[in-house]
Amino acid sequence: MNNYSNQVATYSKEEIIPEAFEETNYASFSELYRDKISQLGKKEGRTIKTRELALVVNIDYEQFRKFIVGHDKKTKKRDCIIAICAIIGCDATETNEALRLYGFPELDQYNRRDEIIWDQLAEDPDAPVSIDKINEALVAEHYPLLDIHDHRNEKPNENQANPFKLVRKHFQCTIEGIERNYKPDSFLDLQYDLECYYNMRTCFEYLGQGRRYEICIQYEDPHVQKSENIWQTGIRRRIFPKRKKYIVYAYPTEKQESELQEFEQIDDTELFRECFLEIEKTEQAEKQRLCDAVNDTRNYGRRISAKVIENDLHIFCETYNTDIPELSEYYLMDYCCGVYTLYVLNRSCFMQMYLTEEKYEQIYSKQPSFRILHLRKTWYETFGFNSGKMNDPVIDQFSSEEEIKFSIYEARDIGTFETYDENAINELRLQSYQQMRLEIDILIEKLQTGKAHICNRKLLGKDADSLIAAYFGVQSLEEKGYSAEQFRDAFELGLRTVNEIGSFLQGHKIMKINEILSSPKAKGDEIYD
Amino acid sequence: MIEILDISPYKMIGFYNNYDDPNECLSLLYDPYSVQFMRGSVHLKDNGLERRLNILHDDELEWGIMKSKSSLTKEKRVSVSKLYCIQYEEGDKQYAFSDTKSYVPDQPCPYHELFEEMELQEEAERTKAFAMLNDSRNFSKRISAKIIDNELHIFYETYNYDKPELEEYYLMDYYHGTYHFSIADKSRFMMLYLTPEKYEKIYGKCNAVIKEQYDSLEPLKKFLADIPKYDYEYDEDRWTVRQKIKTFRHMQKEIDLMCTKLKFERAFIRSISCLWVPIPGIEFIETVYILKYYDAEKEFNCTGLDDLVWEEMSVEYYNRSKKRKEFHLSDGKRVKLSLKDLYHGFELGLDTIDEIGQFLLKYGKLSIRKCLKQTC
Repeated sequence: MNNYSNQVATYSKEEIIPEAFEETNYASFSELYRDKISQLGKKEGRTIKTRELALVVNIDYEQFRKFIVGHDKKTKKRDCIIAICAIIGCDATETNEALRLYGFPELDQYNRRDEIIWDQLAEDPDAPVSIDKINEALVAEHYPLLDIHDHRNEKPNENQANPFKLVRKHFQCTIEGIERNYKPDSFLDLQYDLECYYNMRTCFEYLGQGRRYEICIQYEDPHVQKSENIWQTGIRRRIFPKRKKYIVYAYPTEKQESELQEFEQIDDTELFRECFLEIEKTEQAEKQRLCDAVNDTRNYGRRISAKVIENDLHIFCETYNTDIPELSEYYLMDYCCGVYTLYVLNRSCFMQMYLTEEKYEQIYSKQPSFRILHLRKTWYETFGFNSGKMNDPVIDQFSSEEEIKFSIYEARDIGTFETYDENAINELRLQSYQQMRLEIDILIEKLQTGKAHICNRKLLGKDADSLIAAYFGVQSLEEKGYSAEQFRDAFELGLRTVNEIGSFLQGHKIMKINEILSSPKAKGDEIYD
Repeated sequence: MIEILDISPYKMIGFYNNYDDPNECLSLLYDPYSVQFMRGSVHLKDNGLERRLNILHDDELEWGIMKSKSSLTKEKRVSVSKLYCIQYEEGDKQYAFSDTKSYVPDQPCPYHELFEEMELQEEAERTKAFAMLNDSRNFSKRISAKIIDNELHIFYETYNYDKPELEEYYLMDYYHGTYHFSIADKSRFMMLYLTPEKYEKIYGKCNAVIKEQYDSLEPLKKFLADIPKYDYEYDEDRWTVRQKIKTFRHMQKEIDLMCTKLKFERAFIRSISCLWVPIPGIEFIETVYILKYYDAEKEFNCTGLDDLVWEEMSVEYYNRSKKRKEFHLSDGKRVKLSLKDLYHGFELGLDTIDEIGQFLLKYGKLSIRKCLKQTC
């Protein structure tokens, strides 16, 4: 049965940051500053005065002068040095040198805010960049503006505590399980669960205490089995999550042998703690980028899945409204108890339905804002006044084709899109409703006939029963008052705990997915009983 | 004491209609300058008297191609492109704003800070709209055609939806009989769609990194053949290369389809209908507007024709239409152009007389068919 292999189903992405520029052309920041303004002066054919630049950054001339010299008084603001560098025409490398000379951390390309500044400085390396231009770029991505002015009682930057000098960055991410894209319906529950499929290894190299160190954060699978397939791996990783390891490798020297140290906790890393904190920051940024890509259905075109949410089986699909992209809206259709509800959303909410609330919060550090609520529109909402009862990301919702047709007569606050009359927008919404309903119907049929699975027991091979038992946290499949068959059905339904089985059985009495989908409740017939 | 009563923000209304018939006017479909915005306003009470503030833009009543053109040439014009307007309350009537005073933004005026804030909001909305147009993910896939450096380009872009974690955009640019397929980390459709000056003005320099580039299927097929068969270890590579071959073929097919559409006039680089002439379908009226587009009314001695009623216009037009005028091109060559040439040049999406002249000299006729015959 086990026809698939996961041994090499990996995709590697590797980025090697070249060794940091070690040679310094300037002895101090003031030397760099003087050289740059003389270059700029020659270019502009006039003398650039420090007083003039002080005015541009809006700092008192005397104070500005002291900041440049850096003997009596230093600025505590890293952004101030960035701003000065920008207006005197330093490129990204020179700005990094200036920051280093001044004692600040260099621009970090893994930090999005720093990356934006970097891009602005690198755009035209010889030309000065205005502070406004950098601020505009930062505002466009909702980052704080350049913080130039010192405020009283501010603590000095803590980043200077690291005794090691960073000389090389190396990041590698392995995205496994590409096979799941062959047949996306074969294991819906694992399809977009990125945590089951990526593996990161982040290594920085440092010089310090007369040695070169490679410092890594990597993850280890506690029960790795080389012969298992991607679905077995996915389920196993849910049972036994990967373990984070902090590794320090000291290169050999003439006098000393190489050394390897492994730590389980960052607090145990002592001297290297600052280095690991730095690596964690990079790792977090990369992970965020990856998770953000998965959190937006625009990156997939359209997505569909099925899941038991609060004891009811939901089948849901999402797509971006590419017909009228200027509306920036997503369509999410949820099928439950015979009702097809189309939500018009201002952001992608597929993952909020796909993941459990806890897992979503854990990955995205925020609570899911979308709730599946079949709210009848109030009089106020019908006539365009948002009474605040609807979900935060929900712009509109329709539970039938008729509702969409009748909504022509509603005054809605969706902007004044004069080029598309209300009929045209509704016509497109109707088309999307019909298309998404059709897709859901196809998936329902596939789930009923066994051509699609929420969780596919057969793909777990001969170890299926032991994996399912471990998944529910029981010794064997004959425990807690449920039969083995019930555990298997619960697994196929995507339930994750014994409590969920009990609660589901109370409401439905059955747990076979084809029976559930054919039951009067699932078809919505019970409502009229 | 100022009390803000109501703020209606500056808002994008929409861009050129893309769902009725996207092939009607390819050159305007994604043009950021043709995006229409609704004027924002601030309604306030100052010492008990109501005022309404808004910023008037000189191109806000223009639409489509003329708006696009006027936005591009705005810097060249001497006139002020925007005005700060204050509408004053008239008598006791609450909403009867009649007396309006306008100020040039650089001059001191009442509520200057509020106007500046409004401008910031306008800028943010414009940036949002333009950014939306610069990402093909918002459209799922995009195709267009354009004459670039006297060569017909048909280009198609889509996103790698199979492996979104990689953040890859696929672009195929077809010109001179070759399909150029490339994979980059950023969307580059607008780079081809707009002129380089226009692109840089709106989006700055494009810093997309091209990861892979192929001018035919052969290298991809060779990769596939070189991957050891029946070895699970190379499943991933095999799948990836197959996906690329599939995408290449699909994009090729779409481009070929667009070629056919252009040939049989089911798709147009630029349609005369986007000029929004008062009486559409009458060629001489349309040509008079095209002359305005190329600022060539003087050369063809047609100044003021659009002020005439259409019967008079028709007579005057025919009196002048037989003569061809000689133009000096940027490379020193000379070319004689008729009003008809300008009409066809406009349809080909050519923006200047120089481009029309160069095209005519290269292909002998201002026709998409002629161009397709020589290049495809």
